[in-house]
Amino acid sequence: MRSKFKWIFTLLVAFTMQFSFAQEKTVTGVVSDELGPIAGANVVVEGTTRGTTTDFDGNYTIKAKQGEVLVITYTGKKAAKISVTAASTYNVSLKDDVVEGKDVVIQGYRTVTKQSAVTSVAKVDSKTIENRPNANVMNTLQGQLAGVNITASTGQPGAKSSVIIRGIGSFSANGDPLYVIDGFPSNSDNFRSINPNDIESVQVLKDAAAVSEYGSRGTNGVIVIKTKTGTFGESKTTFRYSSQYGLTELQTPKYNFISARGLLALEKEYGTGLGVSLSDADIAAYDVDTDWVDYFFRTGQSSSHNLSVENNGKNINSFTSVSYFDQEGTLKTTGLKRFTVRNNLNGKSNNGKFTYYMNIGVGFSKNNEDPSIGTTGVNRNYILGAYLGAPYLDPNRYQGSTWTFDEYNNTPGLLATPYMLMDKLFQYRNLVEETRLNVATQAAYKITNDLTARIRTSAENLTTFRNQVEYPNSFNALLFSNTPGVASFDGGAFNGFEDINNRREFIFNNLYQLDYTKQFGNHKIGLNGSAEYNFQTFQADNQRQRGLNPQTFVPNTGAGYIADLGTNDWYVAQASAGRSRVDYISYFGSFDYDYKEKYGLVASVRSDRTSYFAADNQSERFWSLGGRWNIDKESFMDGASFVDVLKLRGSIGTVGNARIVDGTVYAPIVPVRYLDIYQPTNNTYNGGLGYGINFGFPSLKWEYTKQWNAGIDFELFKGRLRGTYDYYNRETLDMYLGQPVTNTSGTGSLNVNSDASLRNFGHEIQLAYDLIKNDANEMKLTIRANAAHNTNEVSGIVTNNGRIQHGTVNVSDNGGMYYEYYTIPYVGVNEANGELLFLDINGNVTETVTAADQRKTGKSFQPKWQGGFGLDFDYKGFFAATTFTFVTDVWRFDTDYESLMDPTNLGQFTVASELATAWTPTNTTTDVPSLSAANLGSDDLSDRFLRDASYVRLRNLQIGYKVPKRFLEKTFITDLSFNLQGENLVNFTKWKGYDPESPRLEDLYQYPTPRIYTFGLDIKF
Amino acid sequence: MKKYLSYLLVASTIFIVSCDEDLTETFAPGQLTEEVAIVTSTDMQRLLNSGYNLLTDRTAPVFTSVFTDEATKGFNNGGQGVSAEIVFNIFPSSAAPTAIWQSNYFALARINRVIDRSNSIVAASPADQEFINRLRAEALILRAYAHLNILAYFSPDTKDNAALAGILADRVIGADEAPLRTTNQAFYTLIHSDLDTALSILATNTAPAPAVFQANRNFAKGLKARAYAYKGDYPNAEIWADDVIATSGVSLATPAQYRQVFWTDNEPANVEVIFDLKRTAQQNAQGTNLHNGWCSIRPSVGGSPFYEVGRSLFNILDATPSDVRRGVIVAPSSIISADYQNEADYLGSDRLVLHKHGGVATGSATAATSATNAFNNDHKIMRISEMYLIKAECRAAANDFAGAATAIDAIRDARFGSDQAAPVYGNVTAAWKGVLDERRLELAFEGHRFIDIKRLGVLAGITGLDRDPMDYNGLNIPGGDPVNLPLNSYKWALPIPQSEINANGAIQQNAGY
Repeated sequence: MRSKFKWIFTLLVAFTMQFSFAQEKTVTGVVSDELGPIAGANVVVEGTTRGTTTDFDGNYTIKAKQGEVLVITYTGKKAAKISVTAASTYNVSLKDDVVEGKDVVIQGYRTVTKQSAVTSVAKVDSKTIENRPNANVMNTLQGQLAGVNITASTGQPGAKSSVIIRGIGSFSANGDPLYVIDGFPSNSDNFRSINPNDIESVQVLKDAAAVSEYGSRGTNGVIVIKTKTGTFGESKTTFRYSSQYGLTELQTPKYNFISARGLLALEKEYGTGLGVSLSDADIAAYDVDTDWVDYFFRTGQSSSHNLSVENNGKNINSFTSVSYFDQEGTLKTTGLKRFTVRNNLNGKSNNGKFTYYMNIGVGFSKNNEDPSIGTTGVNRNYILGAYLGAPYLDPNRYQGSTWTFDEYNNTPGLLATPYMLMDKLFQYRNLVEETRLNVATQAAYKITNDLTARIRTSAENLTTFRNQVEYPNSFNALLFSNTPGVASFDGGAFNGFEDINNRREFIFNNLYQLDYTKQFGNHKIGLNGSAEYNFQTFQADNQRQRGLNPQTFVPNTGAGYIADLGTNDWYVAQASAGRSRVDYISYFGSFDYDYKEKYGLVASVRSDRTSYFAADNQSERFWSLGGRWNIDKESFMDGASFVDVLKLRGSIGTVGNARIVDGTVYAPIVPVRYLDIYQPTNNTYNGGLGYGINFGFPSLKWEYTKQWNAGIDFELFKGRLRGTYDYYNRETLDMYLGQPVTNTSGTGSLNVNSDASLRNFGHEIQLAYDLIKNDANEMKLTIRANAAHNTNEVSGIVTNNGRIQHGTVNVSDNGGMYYEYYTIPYVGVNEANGELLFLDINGNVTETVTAADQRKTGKSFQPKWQGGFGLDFDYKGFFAATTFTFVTDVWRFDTDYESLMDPTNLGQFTVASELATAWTPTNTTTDVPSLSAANLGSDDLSDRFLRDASYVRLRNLQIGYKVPKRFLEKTFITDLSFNLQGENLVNFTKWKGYDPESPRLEDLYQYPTPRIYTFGLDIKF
Repeated sequence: MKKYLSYLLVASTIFIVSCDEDLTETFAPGQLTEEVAIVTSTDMQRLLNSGYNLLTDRTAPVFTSVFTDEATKGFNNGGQGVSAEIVFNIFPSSAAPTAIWQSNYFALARINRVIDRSNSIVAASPADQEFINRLRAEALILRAYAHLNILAYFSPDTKDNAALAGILADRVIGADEAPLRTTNQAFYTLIHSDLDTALSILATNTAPAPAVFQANRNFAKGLKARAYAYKGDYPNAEIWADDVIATSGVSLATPAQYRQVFWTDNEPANVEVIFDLKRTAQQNAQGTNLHNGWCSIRPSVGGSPFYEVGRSLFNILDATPSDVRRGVIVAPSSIISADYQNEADYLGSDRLVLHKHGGVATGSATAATSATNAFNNDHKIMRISEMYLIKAECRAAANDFAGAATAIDAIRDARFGSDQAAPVYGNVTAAWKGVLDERRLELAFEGHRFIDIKRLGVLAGITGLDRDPMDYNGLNIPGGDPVNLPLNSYKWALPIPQSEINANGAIQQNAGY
């Protein structure tokens, strides 16, 4: 080290000698980044050929005149420009380009510049994520990332979204991508305890080369999340506070609910229900008309507060944040409250050789959700009550649980559905509290300038507590009592129950890595070897107390528990516990080669071992190969000066998946799937034990995906037009399949590595164009769009002549789509008799159909095209941004509508007003079949309620004002902005229901995603 | 530099060596393989218990009642059956055929393993060997029972030896096989050989005899009678029915005992029940217990019945109020319209609540509720009255009308609790009709009516189901008109379920589906 210092010193003297020669002087300094000095950074005097590179300690020396500008560049860093003034020393801290979200991408475990990347990656940065009012960051990303299909499954704040990257890859296996947070492959099930405002960037790795180093779990793509950090450099402290207040409301459906009078009249005509007992005059005078949707849903309020402190220093920097988020769901009783704390600390030794970080995130959330959403429990699912409650019922009649029980007994019971659910609003509690502690650490040491050793140790501890209560003497407690309808204070049994569940999950990850890079002239090579150990375990205990004393019961205190009696077994408490564990051990290595930054090659291999399989099948190897050609660097492109970046890249490789079945990571071994498992079961027959058999597939092994990808990246016209295009083809082999097996074997299906395979191929394009870029006017208008087209193809099914039928109306056929709809065309109403008409398999119109008339439709619930587009507009501090999202060719059954069109619901539930126009002998030209059509049941096999759920949606609209700096000069504030925004504002869709967005084949009484309006404020000081 | 490298290598080596093999061992507490699970006679008993438990599926009696003329849409119907069983809308992916097929074959997979292991388990003592033999006999009887169920529901004609039944499960069948259906003849052969083997084992077995809730000798004999009757082999059926009546020691229940049999399961020993599938209070659950097949909560008017007793069946029962079956089938909490045919709101004003399973004599506080740890009905699989009914069939088949009437009269005497005049059948059709009608009352809601109409309907001269027009036209379910299910409909054989076809594409589907 000393010798190098001398060498610099020498040079300096030489320059000094030249000082008088011209007005040029010698400028020196150190170029560094947050991890320490940067060797090999380019320092060029702008507009000249004078240039140098930094030495191993980041030092540079260059001749420059006062007034000239130094441009310092380094791959992966944002270029810095320094005007040379009277001073002679300029230390420069280069910022990681990840901060800008444009030019750095992740390739396996490493970060490389976009120019040298061989991979297909989609990325968004904090600007897109910050201050959006979604509790779960994945909801915010919808429509931002080409080829990533994100679908909210429920309007419950913070709930997990369905994320499918480049199409569904497996029939039976888990389809979740792998989530990596700050280098830590983490829990995919739960994001509600993470504060989206802490996130610096989210990158989605899609192709083989990008995900291969996560090979063991990368089949479904990898989502890499990086949280915010400080930077090394001048000591500086920045505060930022942002706050939002908002309202959430239900999206508006296009269903026509019948009025109370209309329903009564229809009941009278149909001969069932309250309407029958009323005269026409009574009906005309009936003045109750309740909107039960309005009763069970509400305009929710939301608020959030974020305070963060970024502290920069020479050898240590930190990012600290505290946040509170509170969002009421649109459905009464539901909501999410969250408190998070994060502290990300980066440090380095004075000589820059040793660097480390420790990112600690703590999240605590309280989630009130209803577990009965989507069920048909009339006494459980609020949404069923909202959608189907008869409008002639008056909520003001409700007088408590016993009243509800009597009402249920004295009306056609199910008519009392809204009252039962009103009772549940007051008499039921479900609270899930989650504490999430994430620690991600890394320590690295530069052994030599070319060789770095790295250790990562990360852990997550997730504690979940659930408390569910059905209050004693609530309607449901009275109903399911051993003394139905008789409350304990009337001499009945002590009713109700309380559940207390605790779950603790621990995830641990340990990575050892050696990194070697070397440049020989124009050749640059990199070698990397890693060993990784991943461990996940959970332990759970559950208790249920039945029999609560209403006098003393207080939830979650144990007060009011009734003890078991000798005379009956009604109050026996139930206890259960569970534990499981999964391990992965992996070794992987990669090789990088670059020639003149024009050509690049990346190869990787990986070997994985997991505890999901029998010892012989635990290991699997994966590989990938990627290459690029930076065409813009070629001399023949010198003439095309409008081309800034033009790169061709391609990759091929394999990745694996060991999660045989959907569910948690533990589901594949509870029970073990590779053996016939005999599990003793309690109280199986006449009180004796039994043996449950879970049939296994002995040769179960890894499922793997073989994929290739070709893409092009470009930036034209000084970066005004930017984009990428990708073609991909991925095929899942040895695919996990719940293989239908002869029922005589003792089971209906067996999870196997099947001969069947799924192939997804398609195109992805992402574009952005700065339509207006007028710095003088402070005006900028950017248009951005992304779209992905996916084709999904099934092959290799051996059973049943290459077909698997799923339930009644879906099939997967060799050569066809995954879960293609398989129905009989519904063609309308027979004018002669009001019966439904269908097309039989021979194309004849008929009233009578069988399963043999079903046919494939070419329709599926997976979109063909999906993506988003929008624009960003800035003008003198005013800004506006929109994001539209779209999906096409999505078909789903509108089961909510089917239910409203079901005449057999008359007398108990409400219906659509169309039913009033049903066929009658005097009203023969109608599209609504006779209310008493004999073949209404044939609907089940038909496409009558199969609907196009494609949509274009104004997903997000923001308008705001950033107060110009000149107004803030005399205050402590450095930045101040206000914004107004809305989510899910407008839908353009044929779908009639509340929400066209859903990952399901059909929706029945599901919780729609809300429309959200917020006002926010953002201050930096 | 070197120093650092070697430290790192040491560190990784330790990690690699110590972790690899041990750490990736599958963590699976409490999960046993067959080799360690089924070692003793106790283990065999447990596996057999699972077989019994799988047979307690309630689909067959519920499906039968709704598809035929026992039940109808109830006033608390939330869509159950109205577009399916009630209007005879049934196809390969329908729930009922799937559940009937699977519950029997899933049980058979356990039962065949018991039979298989009975040869290889080493007895701890001679007494233990006797116990193992007894378990083997129980398993053989259950195997015969499950095969007869499959044959009855899936064969187009139970009397035709050449007609197809189901898949013959006379051994442990592997998941990689695709077995085809075999004929009724193969089924009957297996059924009788299993029953004969079981009877010969039990004849000399010194272990405690199987109880009424276990596959016992009387049940084996009764099954032979039932199987011969299904086949139409009446001389043989009569031999075995007579044997059970004469030797079982099981007597027809008095009216009071009859109520105990269905409502509280506390009838005296050797009364009425030959074999039932036992259910315990701890197993009581809305999703699986018997009575919740027809109502959501309990078998009373406040118990949310989604199916009710069909009006036509009720009219027959109500004509003879002193017949205990009137009270056992129809709940006292029912709301009976005096003029049901002219009710504007028939569904709401005529509520005939079924309470044969777990009912109560007066009031609405039934034995059965859906509460946890509350009373849970046993499934009555075979009762002594069925033997009398088979006997009556045999006599009718022999043109002995008086003999048929005598057998029927024996049941009626018991059910009325007093001597009744024997019915008089003027011709053979009337005799068959008399048997079929008596079976309708006696075995209602126990899963017989579908099979009985299928095999006796033509003999009895009926044209189809006996549903009251109010139960379809009066409920706006015109598709439920019995003309839509004539006796020659293909729907008298259930479709081979899609779950089997998916695995076994070459399996022969019944005609029509």
